[in-house]
Amino acid sequence: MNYKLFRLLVLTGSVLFLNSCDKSIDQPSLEVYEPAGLDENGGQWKPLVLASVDEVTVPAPQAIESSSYKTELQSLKDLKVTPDQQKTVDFWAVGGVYRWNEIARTLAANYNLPPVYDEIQKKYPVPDAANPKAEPKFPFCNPPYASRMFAYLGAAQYDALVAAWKYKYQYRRLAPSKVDASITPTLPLSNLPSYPSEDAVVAAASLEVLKVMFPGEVEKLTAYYEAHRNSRLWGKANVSSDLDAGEALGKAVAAKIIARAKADGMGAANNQAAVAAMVSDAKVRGLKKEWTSLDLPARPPMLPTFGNVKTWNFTEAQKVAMRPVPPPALGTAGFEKDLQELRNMGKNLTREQHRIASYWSDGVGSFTPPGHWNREAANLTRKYKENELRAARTMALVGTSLMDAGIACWDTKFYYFTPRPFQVDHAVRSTIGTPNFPSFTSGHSTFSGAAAHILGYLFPNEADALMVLANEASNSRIYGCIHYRADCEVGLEHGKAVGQFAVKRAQNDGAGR
Amino acid sequence: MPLFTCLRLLRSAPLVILLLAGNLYAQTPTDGIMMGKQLICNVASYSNSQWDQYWEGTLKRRNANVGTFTGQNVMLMSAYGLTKNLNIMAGLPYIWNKSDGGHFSRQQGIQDLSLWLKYRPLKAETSFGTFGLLATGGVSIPVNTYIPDMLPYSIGLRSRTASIKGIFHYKIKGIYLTAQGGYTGRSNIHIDRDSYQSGGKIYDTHEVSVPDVVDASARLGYINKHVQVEGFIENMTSQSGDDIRRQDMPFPTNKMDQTSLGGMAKVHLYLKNGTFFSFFGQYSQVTAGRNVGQARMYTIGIQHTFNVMGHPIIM
Repeated sequence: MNYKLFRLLVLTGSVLFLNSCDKSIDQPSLEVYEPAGLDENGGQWKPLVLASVDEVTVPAPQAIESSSYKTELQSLKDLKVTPDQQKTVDFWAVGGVYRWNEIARTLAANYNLPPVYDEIQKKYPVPDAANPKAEPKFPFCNPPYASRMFAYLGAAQYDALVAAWKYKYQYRRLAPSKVDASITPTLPLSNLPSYPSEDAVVAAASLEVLKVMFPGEVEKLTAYYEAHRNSRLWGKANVSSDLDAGEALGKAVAAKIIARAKADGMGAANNQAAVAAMVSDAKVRGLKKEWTSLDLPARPPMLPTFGNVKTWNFTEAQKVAMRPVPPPALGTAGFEKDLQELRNMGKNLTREQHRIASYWSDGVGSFTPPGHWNREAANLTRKYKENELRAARTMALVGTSLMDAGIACWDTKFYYFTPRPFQVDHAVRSTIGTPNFPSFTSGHSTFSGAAAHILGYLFPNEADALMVLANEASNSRIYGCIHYRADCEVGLEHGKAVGQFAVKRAQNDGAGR
Repeated sequence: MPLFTCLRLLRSAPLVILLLAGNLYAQTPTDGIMMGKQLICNVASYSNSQWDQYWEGTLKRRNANVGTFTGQNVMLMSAYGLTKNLNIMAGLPYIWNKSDGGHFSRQQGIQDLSLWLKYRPLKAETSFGTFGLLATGGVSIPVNTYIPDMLPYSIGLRSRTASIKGIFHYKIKGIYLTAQGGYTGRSNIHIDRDSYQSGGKIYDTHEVSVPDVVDASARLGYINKHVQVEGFIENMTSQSGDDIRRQDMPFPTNKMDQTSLGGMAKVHLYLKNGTFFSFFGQYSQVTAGRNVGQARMYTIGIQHTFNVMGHPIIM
């Protein structure tokens, strides 16, 4: 009897044990799709930063009868592709724009860690771009930094691809397998002309921008670049001259995008010396109690002058004109109502409300709220089978909207300088962590309103669902007890107004919806 | 002394809150003693664990935004002797976690239900002492949808676990030595987020891998009809996992390791109706760790033991 029971125990244990041994993490697999359209006139679309694609030129390719082209074809034919190389081909065949944004999100999460207090110097050190690998690593990829990084990545990919499209349809060089039927590509190919290679364009433009944004990651980024480029040879999708021309074009456009970045005022976005005047100005406007850091020891506010950075889709005057009116002042009935809601929320938070707060938390160590919406956008480019150019346009419009939202929100936050709920009442504790900057308006709400609005324009079938997501993201900050309702509701509307400027750009860039 | 299993069992429960994460692997029995046939014991205990330093990876540090972390639990547990060589046990804790620094809210709730079977295939009484070999197998399942993605405040990891342990027990003239080693497999979990960073990678899914754990302990003590005292050393080592990054929050994928030293004492009070009560206290201190708090912890508890058929327990 004992023995039988023991055997049963061992057997049951083993079965449970084996079940729990499957530690692999199932992630959604990404199919390679044929684009819904090729946007043959894409070379005429309006770029974001370049005044015109004529700013960059791509020399005419060698004719397909030339001996140099025939040599290139022959080297493709001679190529023996290993299984590992084929994996690389399959990885990048999902889409260069998609993959480089995915890499950018990973880097954002890897660098989204605030500096550690220096007990000897008695201060928080500031990351140094000239010494990016030393602690604290550069950058601290907080939400404003991430929004800007995604914006420039999107802009570089988009402008470079508009130029690429122009030259593709000007020269109309066919893919190697369409010139020589004995070449069989190992990935699906559309009828897009292959010179200059759109993959090399995206890879080079992305590499150059991300090297500036993450200077400590040059080796890793270069390895991604090499892999992406090689994947087009190993897949027999491009000859070397397609790739060389694409690389040169991508780099040339990236240089112009980076020049804009260097001059956008980000270098002055962490001006802590301006804070005292910001507080006194806000008090003149009626502020009763200014925001102070909840971190211990108190941490200087995150990028207090990011609100002055150059915007993409509206002017400085338009930014000021749409700045929200102040929230209910401390001590007023309106303020008390919002605060009481948070007191009750802390006591009665449902599991579903917590799920929402956690799902949208996007806090320290995550790819930030701009990264969250970058992923939403990237997934939609796949759902609607956008070609590389159109996908880049989507990512650029969303990316610039998110950066604009960050600028407009930071401008508002440091204009009003309002305290966080915990500061006013220590009973209001958070389940998700309070960010280190003033309360009004909610950054999540502003980012979400802007991204959902432009995405809703680009994907009208998704508009309602996107706005549901944006509302949820906005409410998540109330459920997390780190924002008053006014911060969230006003921030969401402010974000939609920011997104509307991106819609205007999209209506006039020649791409249609 | 077949009676004291419950207490021993219980003693390991407070390990739950030694960790940054609630962890139940150590709630499985690790002692060398069996309950007699038809005996049942019911236990209630309270544990309190505190730390103000923790290991961020291998770096020991303080964090004013956490301040002093306090974990408390109340544990209910029962053990029953199916036969003198086969026992079944169950336990369920209620846990509170909070800290006095920063502005995070506390977490509390019922955690995981654990069930074990314990079997003694070998017991040898010789002129130079008594030897026993024992094996236990256990499973645990979360009984509610508490939040595993809010460490260190989360009350547990919400993983289902299955564990197997081997125990060697030796006793001579009341002095005993118990050595134990075990392996706990832990299932993947689902968190509310569908994106997270681990080991430098982004995972776009709700599913999170939690490391399996190897644990070992050694105990040296003295036991008689009325008292028991003991000193012990315990170690748990995760079999995979990443480190907490600099200034990041802990996460269920972390490699949580620790070694602790402790002592325990208990007394028994025999009643005229043939049952008895036991009272006990324990203190332990984490001495080395990785991705865990350096906790010091005490437990107090009470146990009632009786025969289900109503027969008096004869000592």
